Amino acid sequence: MNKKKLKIVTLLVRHGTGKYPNALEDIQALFARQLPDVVHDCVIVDNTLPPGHEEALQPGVTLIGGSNAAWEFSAWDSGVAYLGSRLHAYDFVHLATSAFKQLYVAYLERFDGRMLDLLAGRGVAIGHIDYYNEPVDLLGVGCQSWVRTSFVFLSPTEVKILGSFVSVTSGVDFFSRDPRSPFKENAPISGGYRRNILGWLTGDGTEQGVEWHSRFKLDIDTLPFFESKTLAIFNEQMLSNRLRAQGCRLVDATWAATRAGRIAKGDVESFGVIPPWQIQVTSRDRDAGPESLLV
Amino acid sequence: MTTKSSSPQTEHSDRLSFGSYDLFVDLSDELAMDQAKVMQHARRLLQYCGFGNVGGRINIALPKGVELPTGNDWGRHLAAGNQGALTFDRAVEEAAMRKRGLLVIMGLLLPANEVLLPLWQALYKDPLFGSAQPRFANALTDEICPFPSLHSLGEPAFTSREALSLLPETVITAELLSSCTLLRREVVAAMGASRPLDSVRGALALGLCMARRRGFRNVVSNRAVVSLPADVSASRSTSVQRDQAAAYLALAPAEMTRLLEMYPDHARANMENSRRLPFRLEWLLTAAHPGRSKPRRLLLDCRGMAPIYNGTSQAMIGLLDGLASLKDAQWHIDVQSGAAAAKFHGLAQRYPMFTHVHGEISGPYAAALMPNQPWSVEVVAELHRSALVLIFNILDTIAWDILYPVDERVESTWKFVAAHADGLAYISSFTQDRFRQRFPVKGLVQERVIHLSLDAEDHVTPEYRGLPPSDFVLLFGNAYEHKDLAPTLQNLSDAFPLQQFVVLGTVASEMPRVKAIASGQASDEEIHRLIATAKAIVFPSYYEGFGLPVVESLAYGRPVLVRKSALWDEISAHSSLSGRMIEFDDTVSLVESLGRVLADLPVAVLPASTALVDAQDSPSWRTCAASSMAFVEHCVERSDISDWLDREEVLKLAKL
Repeated sequence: MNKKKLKIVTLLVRHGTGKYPNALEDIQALFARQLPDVVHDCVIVDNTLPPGHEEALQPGVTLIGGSNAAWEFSAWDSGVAYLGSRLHAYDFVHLATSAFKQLYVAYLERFDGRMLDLLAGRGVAIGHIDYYNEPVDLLGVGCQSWVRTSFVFLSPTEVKILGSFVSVTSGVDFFSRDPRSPFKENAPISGGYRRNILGWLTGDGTEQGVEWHSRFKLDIDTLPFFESKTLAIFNEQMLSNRLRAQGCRLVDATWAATRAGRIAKGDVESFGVIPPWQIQVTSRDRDAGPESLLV
Repeated sequence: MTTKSSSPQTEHSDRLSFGSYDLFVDLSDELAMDQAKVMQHARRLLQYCGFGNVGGRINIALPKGVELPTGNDWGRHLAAGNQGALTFDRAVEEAAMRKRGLLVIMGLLLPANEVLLPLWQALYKDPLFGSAQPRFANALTDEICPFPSLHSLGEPAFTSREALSLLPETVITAELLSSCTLLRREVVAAMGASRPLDSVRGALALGLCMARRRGFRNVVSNRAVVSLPADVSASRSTSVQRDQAAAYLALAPAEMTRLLEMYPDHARANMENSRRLPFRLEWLLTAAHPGRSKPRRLLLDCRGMAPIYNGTSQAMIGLLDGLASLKDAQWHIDVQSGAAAAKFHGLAQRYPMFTHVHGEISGPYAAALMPNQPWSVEVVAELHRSALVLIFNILDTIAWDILYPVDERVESTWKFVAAHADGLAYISSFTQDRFRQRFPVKGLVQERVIHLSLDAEDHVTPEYRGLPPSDFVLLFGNAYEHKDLAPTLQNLSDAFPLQQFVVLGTVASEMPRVKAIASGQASDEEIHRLIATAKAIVFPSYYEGFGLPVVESLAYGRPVLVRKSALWDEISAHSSLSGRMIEFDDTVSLVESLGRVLADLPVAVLPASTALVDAQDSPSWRTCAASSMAFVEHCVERSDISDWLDREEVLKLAKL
């Protein structure tokens, strides 16, 4: 019996082509290499182009303009609006940014058709799960982990339930406008989160031995960028939080590949119950998280 | 650790924020748990679920006999008691003193603390929304546990996540005892002691009753979903019931009695929930949006098919032939028919790829397609209860126009479908125009003209093709006056006294050279042979919806004389059949045209194929079926729950 081919649409967000000119080719090469049997369409949302811009670049590849109001998050909203009811023709919506090959990238090699096929139809978001050493609070939510939004596969139904990828649009409740102490004293984020953000954007990381490639000195000139970047971090965290709230499972790609391998060997029957992120990251077959995460 | 705003339940500008809350966890019924398991469960709540930031405000009701846990977390993050409802009362008191809401988790549920985002959002919608609950999902499939219902809707089934995405964000309910409930601060403050109820669930039920009588409603958020504890061994069907039992809690009979003594009207709550909760809508939405790789179910309502050969049964058989040839794996088709008609037409043998059903309709279906117009609103209501989307194929409005002996309710039925059907298909533009003039169609109702087959291959029996013409003229019709059969026969007999006539569909005639065959007395084969060998065919009807006999006659290459009508222009324009269609508009023109045909003299014919880009584009039963399925798909894709709910409201008001 012929099995139905997976259909995936990539919503690739870019801000012009100056910084990551090969993003489309890199994604197409990844699909060709790792997902050769997938029916793949791509909508590039360039948020330097005006909303309404539409241009067919190649068969199956369309370039549109998108909103830059909340960076990539509003741009993905533009992409979803562009697709309209066509969204539901796909098995997965693949969110990507042109910077998807920055920082840790080993997980990118782990996506394949078998893994995605096993998870199609479930309420899932499959990507790389990042986490802080300790839980933090954002808008009252206790959170420690998030799925990296530069390369993540989502069920279209979860996109529909979500409504918008943008969670936080205003910095009014968060920022003091003082570069020496950029967060308001009563901002709805915990002290640990403030330290993590300041460390990541302007310091030496989040005590995990990794540093951001574009660190900068926080002063009155860089404050607007700091605030915009921080809102993007909040939106990335809140996307994971809201997905969890709607019952969507965040699936770590490395764990899923490990599990899919066991299913192929017959060790286990299916993905079954998707465990908490702590269990997933500690049972990766490479770059596993520390056992101290477990109960 | 946290810098949470000290003002409770302040609405954040992005509408994404928490109010302050305490957490209460009821493990009192988890008799298999010992102290170690309780402690491990508590650590999971803190670490895996993210409730670590509720530190110092977590109370746990322990199973009987389990000693109070000890260790670093206890006292600092957690408090516990093993006095059931009294432990709950203490948690309520503490939350009230701190002016906080209270999240109540019953049993082994491990909800992510993020679920409070949509729960608070639900409470923020209205100051008198007093409690909010999430939906619950099966851990193995992520599908949604349906609400418990007093009325069975057949085999228990999960609600698909696709269906959930189409439901409103929140639903207001009567008091509903579920395993995860967020109580608003004002409700917590108003709750008193739980006596005389002993269990935590009894205490919670009492609290919800008290809140309701103070005006605080319960809301369920369809955007908040909590996974239920997995039960890998359960079969799928049992799993729905197990999940429902885990999600929606029942009181012990003695406690229910006590609660009813205090609040006798609590009995109305279950009735209210049965009335208000959208069980049926979810059931139907799931049929329309079943999830990946699952076919949708279509009900093809062929109950209008009679156990005889007539135009309606011919159109239905044609549609079934077309559907059978499509082999559409996206749809599972149930053919609903009368047992006698099914037997007469051999439906089960002819169409083994479909499921054939008789008697009561058993849903759920994504769509119901009735290949003929409905004759009563009761039938429409029956279909509405079983299918999300209703589509009717309008054949004609002749019955209403000419006072056929039909039920007088036909007028209100057609008005109803013109306003509340999801889709109306018409077998011709001519029929569409007639219907719309008589029953104005509301803007949301989708309409499409889908011609019946005009393909010669669908209408010709090969063994009769090319037979030499005989000398007789064939007249088609029946006893209804709009067919004008008897007067036309008389006129033609008078005009052509030596000509032989065969008349299909009228009572026996005493006229010489006339052979009359009553309706239903001729077999299908005999009719084909007569058409194929007639010298000419006269179809004198004033009023038709499509005129299949005319199409068949043209398919055999016969000249057909028809009374002038826009319908024949349409049929001719969309077909490329070998016969000639010749119009008449009175007796004189009929006699003249027939005389010219019989004498092989030139005669004006209607132009054919003018609406076709390519002659091959002429509709066939296969394209008719494909177009019908495309229309069904279109109606399902564009359907909105408000369409179904509006129809439901109107039918309920009509007590149907």
